[in-house]
Amino acid sequence: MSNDPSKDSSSIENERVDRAINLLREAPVPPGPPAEVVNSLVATLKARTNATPRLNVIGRLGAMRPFTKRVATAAALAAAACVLIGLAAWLISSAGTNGAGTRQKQGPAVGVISTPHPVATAPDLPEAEWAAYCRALQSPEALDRMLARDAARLQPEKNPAGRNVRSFFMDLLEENRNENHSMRGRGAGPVV
Amino acid sequence: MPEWESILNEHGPVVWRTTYRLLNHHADACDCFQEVFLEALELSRREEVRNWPGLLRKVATRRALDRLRKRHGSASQHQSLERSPEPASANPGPVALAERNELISRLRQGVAKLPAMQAEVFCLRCFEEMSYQEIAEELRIEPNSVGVLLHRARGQVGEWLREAHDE
Repeated sequence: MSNDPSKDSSSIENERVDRAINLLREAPVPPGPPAEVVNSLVATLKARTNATPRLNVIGRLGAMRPFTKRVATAAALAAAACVLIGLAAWLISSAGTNGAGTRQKQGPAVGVISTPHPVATAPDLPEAEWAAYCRALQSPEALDRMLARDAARLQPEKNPAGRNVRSFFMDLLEENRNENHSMRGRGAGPVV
Repeated sequence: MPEWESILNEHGPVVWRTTYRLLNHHADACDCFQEVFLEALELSRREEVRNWPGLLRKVATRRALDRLRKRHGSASQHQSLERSPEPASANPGPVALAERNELISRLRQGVAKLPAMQAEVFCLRCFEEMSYQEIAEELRIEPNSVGVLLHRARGQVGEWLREAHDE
């Protein structure tokens, strides 16, 4: 070990490390593992090389070549994306249920004006027509115009559902008006 | 399919030297020697091996370091093994021999305490004398990173050796 004061501590430290490394590197090593160890190892290696490896799913993924692994990953991601898109589409397009868990009969799932009537009394209209009437509920004039336009078609004698449609929407309009009044009374804006 | 007999004949001595040098224990080195080749078999199944000596030295260093860390985890075994003398060498004096053994033992302890990557780089560079490029290829890191890791490892080992020397 050098004790030369002219040398700074880091060079002494480096020398010590180098010396330790050299000593360990050049330390004598006894002759290799016993022959029986080597022979049994060779036999094991040969047996394992010839045996077909049993791999689980993760092992198989690990054993894949990089390109195959990339293709498999891309396929798995695409499949997962398809499942998610399908699920989202189903959730968006399904009618949903009311508070009691009963399936809603009519109308789009999003943006429908909630009706206080029991669902069973709702008129049986095509979806487009139902949506048009819902939009017309914004103002009594618009609803009148629509009902006047469809008056001929909605006559009870020509169409058994006609009376029902007219009275249903008139009732709904009336209730919306009442609700708007009560909400304004509490400081809120119009509901519809 | 690799010819294991020829691989063992050709590279077995290197693997043995690597494992024994770090472990300094015959039975441990024997076990480690076998583990190295069994792991090499698994690796060769996953991808084609282009550099057998590089791969075997890397695996041997890694497995020997694992055992060294385990050994240093249990104090009693650590004491019994670390106090066992090195094989006889050309060094004549008993004081010099004792000092030499002490330094080697401290170095082994230091290497076992290093973070895994630093320890591997340190051993591959300092004991196996592999180039930065070879180490970088085997460990799949940048050659610059090899330099950084080696510098840190040397600094840390130097500090431990100094502390041991000052005690």
